[in-house]
Amino acid sequence: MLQKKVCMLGSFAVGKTSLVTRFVKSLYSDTYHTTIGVKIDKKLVEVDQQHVNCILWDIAGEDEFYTINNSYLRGMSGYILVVDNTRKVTLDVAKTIYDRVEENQGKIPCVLVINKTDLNVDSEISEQDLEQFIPDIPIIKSSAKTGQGVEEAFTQLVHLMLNKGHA
Amino acid sequence: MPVSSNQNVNADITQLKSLKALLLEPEREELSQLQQLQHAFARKVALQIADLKKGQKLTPQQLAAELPEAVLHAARHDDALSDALSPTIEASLKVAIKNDPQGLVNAIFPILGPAIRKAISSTLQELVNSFNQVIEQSISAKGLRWRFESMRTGKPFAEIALLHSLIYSVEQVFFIHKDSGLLIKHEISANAPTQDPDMVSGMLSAIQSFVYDSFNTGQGDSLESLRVGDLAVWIESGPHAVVALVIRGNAPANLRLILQETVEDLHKHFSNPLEKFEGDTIPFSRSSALLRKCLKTQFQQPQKKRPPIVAMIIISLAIISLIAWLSVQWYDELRWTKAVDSLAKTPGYVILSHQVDGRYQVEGLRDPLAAPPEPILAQHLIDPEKIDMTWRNFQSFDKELIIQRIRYTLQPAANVIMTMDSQNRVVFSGDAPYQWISRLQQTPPILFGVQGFELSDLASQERTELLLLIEKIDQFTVPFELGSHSLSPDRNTHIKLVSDLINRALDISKITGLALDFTIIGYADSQGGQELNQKLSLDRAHTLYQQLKETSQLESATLKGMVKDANSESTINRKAELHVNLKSVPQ
Repeated sequence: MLQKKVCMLGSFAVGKTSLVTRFVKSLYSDTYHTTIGVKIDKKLVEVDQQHVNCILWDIAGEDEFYTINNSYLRGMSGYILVVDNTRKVTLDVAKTIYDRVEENQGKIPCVLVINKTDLNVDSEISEQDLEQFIPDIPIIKSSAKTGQGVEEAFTQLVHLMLNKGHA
Repeated sequence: MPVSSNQNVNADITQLKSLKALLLEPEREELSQLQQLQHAFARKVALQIADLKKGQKLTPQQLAAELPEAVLHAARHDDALSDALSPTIEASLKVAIKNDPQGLVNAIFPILGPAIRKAISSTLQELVNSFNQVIEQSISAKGLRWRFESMRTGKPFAEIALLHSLIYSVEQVFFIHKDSGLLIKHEISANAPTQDPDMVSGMLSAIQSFVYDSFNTGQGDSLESLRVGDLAVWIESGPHAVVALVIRGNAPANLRLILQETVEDLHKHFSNPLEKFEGDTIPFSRSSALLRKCLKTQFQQPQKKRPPIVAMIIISLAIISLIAWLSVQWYDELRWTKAVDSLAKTPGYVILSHQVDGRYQVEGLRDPLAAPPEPILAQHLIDPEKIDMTWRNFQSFDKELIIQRIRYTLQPAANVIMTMDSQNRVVFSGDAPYQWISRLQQTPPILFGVQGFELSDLASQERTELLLLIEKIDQFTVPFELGSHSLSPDRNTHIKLVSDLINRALDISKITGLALDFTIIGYADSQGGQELNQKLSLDRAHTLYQQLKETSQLESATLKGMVKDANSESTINRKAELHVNLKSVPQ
């Protein structure tokens, strides 16, 4: 069985923990608790007829006061960049993180997740914004609240990790 | 090497080549042969592959010929063939076992039996040892403390005892990829609690990263240990992997050495897979042996055999108390048994049951005339307050009690002696009032156990008295003066006395029916004429008779006269004698 380290990266309060909770436990809570440091979860998935044990590192969100520790990112096989659909600034933060990761870790499989799409009326991120983002990265719209796109995001990431030749 | 001309160099080279040829020729030839064989084999395989590609299948015979060698070759090369065949072999084994489980049992039976026996023996031995240890610990102060701790914490006593006996125990070993924090292998000792090892290893890695980032430690520095309560986590890092031990207790310093050696060995044996690690843990399957070397446990050595004085004293006291109590119980039981035996031997008692159960209990049959039980039991020092007796009345056939019953019924005189003979007849002896005897003869009582009465040895009191009276009366003599047949007045007192005796005798005679025969003989000597003396003697008898008639109830008597020889003492011959005897003796 393969094991893969997957990091959840993004600005604060974009829904990284909610996505993990939805993915691992199929649960969701409206109550917000900021993640301190890192929280680790795992889930076994089957993708491309392979069983992959995903070790999920849910890392505290980045903001002007806190930058993600590079040491947490060491050895990761892929990561999910999470953006809040209702806050455009989180897309900028995601771009910053992406560039930093690429600089420090190299090209690593990544999926951009636009979370909180259930709040579409408050959406600040347009299709044009998304088009201007890094073109190679799959973009998936999700809602941890409804579960939409969550499974797809992780599956897509695992698929990318496997097909990167890291078997 | 000194500089020389080209010629010298060429000569040196030639010499060197010759030397090489001399030294290495055999190996060279062998190598050459091997290479040729390899090429031939490769050609063969290539041909066969070409054949296959052309659609020509290998015949089974061809395949059978090549297959063993191919398998051997593959096994030497890598584990690919094993990995490829494993699923198939596993599936085949499962089917085989399912179809014929007994076959498998039979096959492994020779190994299974001894292994099971050994396991059982070992387990029993461990059980006995641990039982001994627990018993020892239970009695000691330490053991009591541990029991209290067990009650307080809710943990089983065995676990508490084990923890206190433990010096240290390595419970888990984590083999973690350094960069990613992914768990490569995890080993755990038996009965050790564990969380999800993947998440534990991830968090350990995250903690290490946190420490490294937070405290700006040097490049080569890393977190080496954590401690939480009883548990310590020792971490040792290598270039590509980290090994973490979860230790309970206080491990010695040399365990760190073992940990370091393990990290080194892992890097040595798995350097390639570690460098290329992308999450696949299969290449590390053989690392278990190295990791399990770290699962060490050390218990406290049993202290030198110091006799447990307190425990021995307590046990001795307990044993002594038990013996004393048992002795008292036994003695009590013995006394009671003897007391009951005494009671059983007492006439008039039949014991049905007896026991000692806190109190002394006896149940049986008792003749109302039997002796009271309390004094008998008291002789054996049985506390009368603690005795519960249940008696039912019955009539005993004990001779003693029969006699007693008769005595109670007949109320004999004190002089009557009663015994029972072998034919269960009551034999009376002694003397009793005539009327009592007569009544007994006429209407003997019916008594159970009595076959009859024997009265032949029983004398009536009256007869006895009568005989005494006769004895006294008989030979009563009154003297007369010479030639006279008158009684002197000074004889009145004597006559009165004998009259009383006669009266009493006559009274008894009437009661008893005994007839008395009175004879009065008058005596005269032979001086003078025979006729005169004869008449005198008769007169004398008559005088006495008359006197007695007046003073007593005497009604008749036989009178006789007797003349004695003149040579006899004269006073003796001038008298009258009274004689009395019985006519019949009642039975």
